[in-house]
Formats: sequence, C-alpha cells, structure tokens
Amino acid sequence: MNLTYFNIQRFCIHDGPGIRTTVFLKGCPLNCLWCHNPESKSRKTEMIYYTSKCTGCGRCIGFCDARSIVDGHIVYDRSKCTACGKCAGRCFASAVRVCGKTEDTSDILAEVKKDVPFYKTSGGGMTVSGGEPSMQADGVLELIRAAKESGISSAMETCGFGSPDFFREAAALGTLFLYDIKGVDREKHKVNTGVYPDRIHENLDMLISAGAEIIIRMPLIPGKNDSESDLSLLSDFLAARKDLIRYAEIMPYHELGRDKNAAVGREVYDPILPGKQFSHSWKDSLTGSGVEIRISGE
Amino acid sequence: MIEFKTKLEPFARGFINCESDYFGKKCAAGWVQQAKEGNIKINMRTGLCTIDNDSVLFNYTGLWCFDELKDEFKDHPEDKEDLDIIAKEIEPWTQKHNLSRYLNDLESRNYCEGHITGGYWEGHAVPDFVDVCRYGTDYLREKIEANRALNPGKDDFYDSCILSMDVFDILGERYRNLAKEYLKNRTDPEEVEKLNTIIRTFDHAPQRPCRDFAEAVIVLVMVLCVDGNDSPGYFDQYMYDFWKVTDSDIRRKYLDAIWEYFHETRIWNLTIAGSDENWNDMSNDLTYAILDIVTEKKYQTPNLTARLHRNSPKKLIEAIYRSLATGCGLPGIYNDEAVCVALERLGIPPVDSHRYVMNGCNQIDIQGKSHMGLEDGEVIMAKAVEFTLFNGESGKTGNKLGLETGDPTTFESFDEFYDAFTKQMDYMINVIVGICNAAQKEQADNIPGPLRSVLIEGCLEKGLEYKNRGPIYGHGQILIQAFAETVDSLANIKKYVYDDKRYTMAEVVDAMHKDYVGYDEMYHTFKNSEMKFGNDIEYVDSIARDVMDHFNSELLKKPTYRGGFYSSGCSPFVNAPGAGRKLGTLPNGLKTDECLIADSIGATPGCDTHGPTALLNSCLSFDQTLPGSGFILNLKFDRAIFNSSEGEEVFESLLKSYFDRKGQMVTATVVSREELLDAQIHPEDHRDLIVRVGGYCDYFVNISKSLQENVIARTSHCGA
Repeated sequence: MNLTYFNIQRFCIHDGPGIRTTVFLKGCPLNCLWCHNPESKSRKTEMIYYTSKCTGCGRCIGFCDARSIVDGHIVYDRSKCTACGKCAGRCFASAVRVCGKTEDTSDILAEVKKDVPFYKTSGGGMTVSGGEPSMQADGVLELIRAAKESGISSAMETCGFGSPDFFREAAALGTLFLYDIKGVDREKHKVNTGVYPDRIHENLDMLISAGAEIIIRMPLIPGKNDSESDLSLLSDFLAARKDLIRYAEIMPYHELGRDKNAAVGREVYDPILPGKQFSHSWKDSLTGSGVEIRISGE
Repeated sequence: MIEFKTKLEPFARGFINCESDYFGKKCAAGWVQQAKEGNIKINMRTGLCTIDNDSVLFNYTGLWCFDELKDEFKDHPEDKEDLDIIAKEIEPWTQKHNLSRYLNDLESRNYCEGHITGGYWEGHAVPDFVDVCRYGTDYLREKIEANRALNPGKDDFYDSCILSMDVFDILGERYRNLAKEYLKNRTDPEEVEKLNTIIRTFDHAPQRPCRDFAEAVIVLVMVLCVDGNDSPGYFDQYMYDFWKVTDSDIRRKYLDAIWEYFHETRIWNLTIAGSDENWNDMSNDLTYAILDIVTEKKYQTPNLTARLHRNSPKKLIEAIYRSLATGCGLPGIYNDEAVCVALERLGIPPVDSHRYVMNGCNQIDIQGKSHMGLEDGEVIMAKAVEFTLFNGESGKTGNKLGLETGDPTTFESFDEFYDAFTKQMDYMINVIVGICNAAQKEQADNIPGPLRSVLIEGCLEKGLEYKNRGPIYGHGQILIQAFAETVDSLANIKKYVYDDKRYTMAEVVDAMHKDYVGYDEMYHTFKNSEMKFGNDIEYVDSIARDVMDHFNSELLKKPTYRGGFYSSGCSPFVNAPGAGRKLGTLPNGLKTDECLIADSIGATPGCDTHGPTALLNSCLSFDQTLPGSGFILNLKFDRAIFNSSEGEEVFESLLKSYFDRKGQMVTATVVSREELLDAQIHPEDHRDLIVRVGGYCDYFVNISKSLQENVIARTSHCGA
C-alpha cells in the first residue's frame, strides 16, 4: 500500500525515546495558526520555492505555464503548478524542490530499517508523524505492522483528530502515542486549529482505556492558548488523567516554520517568541496537575 | 681533541671530540656534554626539573640541531673559527641524511608531485620511558652489558646506549645540586617541600628505582624531556604502581604538575583505559583522575586517547562523555574490538595487541616493543582517479606518473573503468611502498637513537638500533587522504556516464581538462549529486567497500624494510587542505583550486546530509579491522545536544552501535555553527573554542582560514 510523505528523517532524538527515524506524512485535518510543518498540510505533492535562494538564472523556465520571467524576474504562479518537479531537477541553487513522494510501505520500511542497530542500542524505533497519520490510516497501520514484524517498535505523533478505529488498532500494535493537546477551551480551539476538540479528547480517553502508552504534547503559543484560564483548564484536564499518561511535554513555539510557510505559499504566522521564562511559568502552572511536566528541548 | 675557542656549543664539542666513527656514539657523546653544561632549571610552580631548550639541543637524533646550530652561530660572528670547525666536522654527517639519494627516478618524480609522501621526518615512537623510573639506570646498564656480551663486535652501539644512561645520571646529579642551591633562599613551605622532593628523588634516582608517584613523575619528565617530548603512551597503566602507593594529596598534585608540563610542551598522545588479552577492563583510579583533569582544564594537549571494549564500565563512558561535553574534543575514543583484531592480522599476538597505544596524531604502536606508528607515508587516493581519466597522467601537472591503463573513452562499462582505476591504485601502492622502504633504509642508515634503543624491547637483544630493525615489531603505516572524494568521483562516473548516460566519457575528460570551464551543468550535477559517500546509500557505499578493502588488503601484502608489513590508516590531521591542493579537477565536483576535502574517513565536508547514523553506517561499509593505524571518524555535535538531557544516552548509543559493528575510532566535537562563524569575524571572543581536526585538537582561531572553512562546512550533526 502506498503512503505519501514529505520526509523520512533519521537520527531524530525528540520524537520519542532513543534514536528514531521519523516518517513525516502529508495531509492534516487541522489548520493550526502556528503550524511549523506547513508543507505537511496538503495531502498532495507540491513545490517548495525559496525565493531567497533563487539566483534568477532562468534554467527552470520553459517546462510549464507556472514559471515565467516577467521584467527580468522569475514569477511563480502556484495555481498553474502541477508539481511535476521538472524545475527542481534543473535548479542548482536548491531553491525549488518537490515536497511529497508516494511510495509503497515496504520501500519506506527499507529506509527505516537502516538504523536498526541504533534503535537497538538506544531503545529507539520508528515514529510516524505528519501531517496527521490518521489521514492515511490503512497505509500507516500496514507500515506499523510491518515494522513490528521486523522487530521495530513504533511511535506516532498525532493531533488525535481521526477515526477511533484507526487509533484503537494502532494501540493494539503497541504504538506509543505522542498525543497533541492544543487546548481545552472549545471555541478557542476552533479558532486556533479550525476544529472543535471533542473528538480529540474522546479518542484520547479511548486510548487510555485501551491501555495505550501515551505522552501528551502541548504546543503553547503566547496569546493563543496560554492564558491563565487556558492553563488552568489544561491542568484540570491533565489531573483527570493523572497516572494514565507517562508525562506531558510543553512544546514552545519555534521559528522553524516561518520560512517554510512562505515557501509553500501560505500565510506567515508571526507571534511573540516565547523565552525560557514563558516555558517555566507554564510548567509551574501545570505542575499542580500531578502529571510530570517536561519542556521540549531542555 | 680539538680545542674550541668558545663554550657556546657543548653538543657539537662532545660530538666532534668523540673518537668513534659510529654516528650514534658521537651523538650520545654530544648529549653527555650537553647534559654536563646545558642550562637546566626547576619550575617552581610545578616542582619539576627541565632542560632549557634554547641552549640544549637534545632531540631524537641531534641531526636537526645542526642547522639550528649554524643559525645560532650567525649571531656570534666573533666565533667564526668555531663555526668553521663545526661545519667541517659535522656537515658530512648531515649530508648523508638525504632521502633523494635512496629513491629511483619514478619514485622521485612521484615524490615531487606531492600526492605521495613519505620519510619526511624521523617520526614518532613510544619507548618504555617508565623503565628509567621503574628499574633505574643501574639495572639498565647491567642489561646493556649483558646483551653486549651476547653480541660481540657491536661495542660502539652498546657504548652509545651506556652514554645515553650517563645523560640521566649527570642530569639527576645536577638537578639535585640545583635544588639544594634554590633551597638556600626559599622559605615558602610549599616550595621547600617541592625542592626537598627533588632532592630525595635524586638522592637515589635515576640509578635506582623511584619509590612513589612524585619521584616517578620527576624522573619521567626528565626522560621525556631528553627524548624530545613525543607521546608518553599508556600512562594510566605504567604509572599505576606508583600512583597506588602514594598519598592522595601528593599524587594529585604531581598529576597536575605533569599535566601542566604536557600542556606546555605540547606533548603528543597519551593513552588510557582499554582491555587486556582476556578482555578484562584495565581502567583504574588514575584513569578517572586523568579524565577529571582533562574535563577541568580543557587543554587540547596532550591528545588523549581512551580505549573502549566489550567490558568497559558504564562509569568510564560517563566520565568520557563529561569530558567531551565541555567541548574540549578529548578524548578520542578507540575501539579495542577493531584495533586489536587489525594488529593481530599483522601477526601481533593478543598479549601485545592489547597493549597498543596511540602516538602522534593517531598512529598505533605497541609501547616499548615496536617501531611502526611513525607515519611512514601518505597517499592521496583520489589521484588514482586522475590517472585513470588521463591514462597515467596527473590532471594537475600533466606529468606521466601513473600506469598507461588505456584511453578511458574506449571503456565500455563501469567495471572496465573501475578495473583501470584499481590498476592505478595498485601502482600507486607500489610506488609509495618503494618510497617508504627507501626512507626506512635511509633512516636506519643515518638516524641513530641510542636512548630509544635502550627503551624499546628487541634492540639491545639484537644489538640493533631502534630505526634499524631492532624492535620486536617493525610494521609500517601508510595513511590515506581524499578517500570520500575518490568514492564520490567513481560514483558520479558510474551513474552519469555509464548508468544514466547523461555525459560521455569524452565530455567528462574534457571537462576535467578544462576545470569545468564551459561545463557548468556538469559541474553542478556532479557537485550536487546525491550520490555522495556518508549518506548510507548502497550504490555509493558498495564502491567505498570495494575501494577501501582492496587498498587495505593490498597494503597488508607489502613488506617493510624494518621487517614487518604495511597497513593503512586515516588521520588527515590539519593537512587535509594541503592534500586538497595536490589534486586537480575531479568528477566529484572539486575544482583544481579548491581544497575542501574530507578530514577523516567520513564524508567530504557538507556532503553528508542524512545525519550521523547514516554517516556511521556508510563508514561501516568497509572492513575496519584491516587498517592497523587508526581510522578516524570525526563527528561534530551541536552544543545543544550535549546540553540536553538526552545527549548522553544518544551519544552512548551512537558509539555503542558503531563499536559493536567494529568501527575503529570516533572523535566528537561539540560546537555550534553560529559560534564558528562568529569566531571568524571576532576571533578575540572565541579563543577558547577548540575543534577537532582529523585526529587532533586545536584552537579554532589558530587554524588557517581554509581549515576553518573545512570545519564549518563539516556537517553539524544536530538532531531534529
């Protein structure tokens, strides 16, 4: 079965325990304002174009209607682009590249298997991430199953917005969940991510009752979901699930997504960058929940 | 007896007035004179006695000092008469020391091209320096005499050995007297204690054995100083007997003192930990004390080598990690599981292979038993690609230095091209082995080392100098440069000429001739190709495996002049950019005036884009139990990784996985790219910034601009 991914990254050390290879899948049902992997949103293959890297040499022109030269400058009309990738093959400056590749799970697994010796010494494995894995549910389950047969354990980074059956089945395969909770307030969640959180919370409780291993991850964005009441709700939410999750990790906003947003033709989100004092005060507000609180990257 | 007008140069007077014709004996006589008259001093900070290097020209042989000596006399025109005598008496001896007289025409021409070098200096050795502390010169004299009786007709050699013992006795006596002199006007209790320690040491040493760690350190420093401050060797092992009988305050003080000495003299390589032949772990309290000092002081010298193996305790790896996390780049970590196997292939039995030490940058020796890690020669492997493309001619100079393997445009398959390439490589191996053997003979004939001959097993027994087949093991080591560039060039040719047929061979040859001028597209294609070594791509790594295993196995068949066999190593050290300049245009995207080439067995800087696990896997594609001279892999880590909670576990896992699969060696630099870039603009703010280059550490601000670029371009392996 095929999966469409935009990256298979090796030596990931923040996507679950040990040294891991993370498969970043395309497609996400949410539309978070602060998304730091904007190239993952669309299910389709698309072009990434870094105007800052473009030298204007013009070698990419002439293969399609999307790229043309106007007044000596290269103009890229995304609406006409079929993501055929010919321009990327011609670009020496690495300003254009194709984002998204569709491959059989067996080919993906072959890449994942290369680091088996490192999983063994570090207690690592494969992480399926996104985008949102549940968007390609059948392929993901096939991949996790095949990995398991090869002795590779799996983790999944998920926003939780998907079919309960998918999550239940993944849990049955021993998957560790890195489960995003982006807020508890329903209306704010809708504004920030485009969806109500009900389904996400239901799926989480379903996984808990199924006995799945769960790490909660909380992207906290200044001014968006870090108010006193947000944190208090979140603390209560965690407290109600105390002892049922391994720990909860604060994911402070970072800037990596900025350039990428522009490169895939999406609006750039530009919030206040949280400093260490933010993460620590967040942590203080959540510690009362009785759940171990960690800060990513510290 | 020649009368000299001045007292300026004791060594020369001793040398000239020695009535023997035996070079070694004359040198030893020079050293004795120097020991009698040269400036000595006591460092009151450390409590150690040293020789003033400006006035005393002890060295491995004394040969180099002749030139320095002539320079020195230039400042004293009034002593012209003495200089004339010295020139007349000494010059003839120095003229014998000339490698070019030993090379044939082909070897000379290859040597001049610069891609093959060898015999350029006397090289390192790791004698059992501690024998002087452990047994004393009285015992060593007896040993010399006993062997003299067994080897008649070699009196000059044994005389020179005795004279080298005299040097220590004379110095010991002078140090004792000097300490007494100092004592007269010192009242500070600590200083008095230091001086009394020197006096009590030389009351009975060096003639008789040292009794504790303080005495052993004082005598060891004297020996290292006289020998020329090479690599101290397996320090935590041979000093442990002294360490364990000494009060903890005193031993720590003298460990600090000798570390200061090592640092000030920029001594080479010191080895700790490791296993014995039954894989018992050999680390001890002293091992940890050394790692503590390195962690605390962050000195970049001596180059510290830590040996790991299947039974290394976790706390040792933790101590190593703590040291690396400071960013000092030390220690370099070696894997007994690979190195011992490599040495056993050379016929060294486990009881000795497990006693290996590192010397110099990263060459391997068996302390006190071998003369093999002196860096015999070096070959820039990618030159064989040039020779293949130009039918035996150098792409850089047009000189005919390789074999005629045929016009490459007539090769119909990659196999045919590769076949021609291996012929060129074999030919290069023959030439370098010829040069190295000539150099070994030249050194055996002309470079005596009586002191080292006493302290390396086999020499006294056979009555032969340490350079002249005396030691038990006389293997040789030839280092490889530009391995990744070789592999990447071959991979591009295979893919773009033979598989994809994007370019014809004629076009590639022409592009190389023209340094890619008019071949922009080809240049970018080759340079940006994904087919680069270090990314765990089987297409490329299979070529790497073929090339490296072929080279290493061929080398193991070649005998040395010293009575052993050659094996390979890779420790490009700071000279990677220099090697890059010897290369012409290559199909990996290297232009002729560029010099950015790999500084270890890893990837060309900037070409390994898949992270450290991919790089480690690529480097394991070839057999690392073949090379017997240290196969360095540099890993560079973002400081952030070492600062994070996962850092230690991640690093240990990487190391364990690499070593379980018989990788030989890893160095780890902890540094951020931003830090390096800023250091180029504001060097004054980054004087503490230490980077590992090849097998060696240096301050980033002190290395050349091109080398700085190399370090920056080397991929920063930060985790996602």
